Amino acid sequence: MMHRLGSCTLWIALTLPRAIAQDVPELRFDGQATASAVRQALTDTTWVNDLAALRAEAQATGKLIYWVQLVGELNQDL
Amino acid sequence: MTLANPAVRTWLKKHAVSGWTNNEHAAYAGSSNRHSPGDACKTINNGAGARNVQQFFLTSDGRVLDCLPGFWNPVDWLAEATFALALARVADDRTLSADVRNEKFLAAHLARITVARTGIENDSQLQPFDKRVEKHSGSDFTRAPGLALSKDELKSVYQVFHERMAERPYLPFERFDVAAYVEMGQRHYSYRDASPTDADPHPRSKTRSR
Repeated sequence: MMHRLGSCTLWIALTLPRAIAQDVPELRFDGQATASAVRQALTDTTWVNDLAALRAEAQATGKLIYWVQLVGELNQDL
Repeated sequence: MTLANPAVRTWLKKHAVSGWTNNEHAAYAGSSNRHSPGDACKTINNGAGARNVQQFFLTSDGRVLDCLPGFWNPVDWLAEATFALALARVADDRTLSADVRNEKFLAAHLARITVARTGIENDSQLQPFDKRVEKHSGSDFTRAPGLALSKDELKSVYQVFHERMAERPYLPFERFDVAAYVEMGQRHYSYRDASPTDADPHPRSKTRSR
């Protein structure tokens, strides 16, 4: 499923080797294997950064909302 | 790893619509050392990083069922996710008055503390540098007189967050006071300032899967 954040932006964030501003040591990859697993995990789920849009979709589908707030970007493992 | 865990991914796909936001500019966000993607991950306790990560489970109309402060291992994440589903069913029960629903919410969160899996107290302890901050009489991490097994014993993050949630029954997300909810431990931690007693700032959880 294509994520609604903008596939280009998210994939760039995942693939460019750069120091990401992170405030928690756990938010980092431990190698390519982990990075691949996280990329796969993220593409399995459609991530939306608009809570109002999520509400509409949740009410239409009867699902809960899982909403993550974090320092940085959702391109590392939680 | 939690979001990459197959059971977590399956749960999310089946039960939730997912979203995220960057809260780096929030007043309550923490500030600590920076780490590059190439740094090795460490196993840490549940609840570490509360000021930097908050994982909300909301009803479809945006009321807070549960909020995991910080990181949580997949086993305990799934237990809380299942719990959130149960709370959502209570929220949707139109035969209940708002007062009764809220009472059930409070009771359910407090009951979580007593029915948690064996070992979760140990896996959800504050990190040493955060314990130093919370060892004062005004902290809700301290136990009432006579209930602590030792003078240094503090409640786990697991217990405290469920107690805090019990006080916030079915709040709309916009009214949920995140700053107060994640008020725990240090806002800033520098490894250069580490105390000699911080042998490992990220104590390992035996149950956290990698």
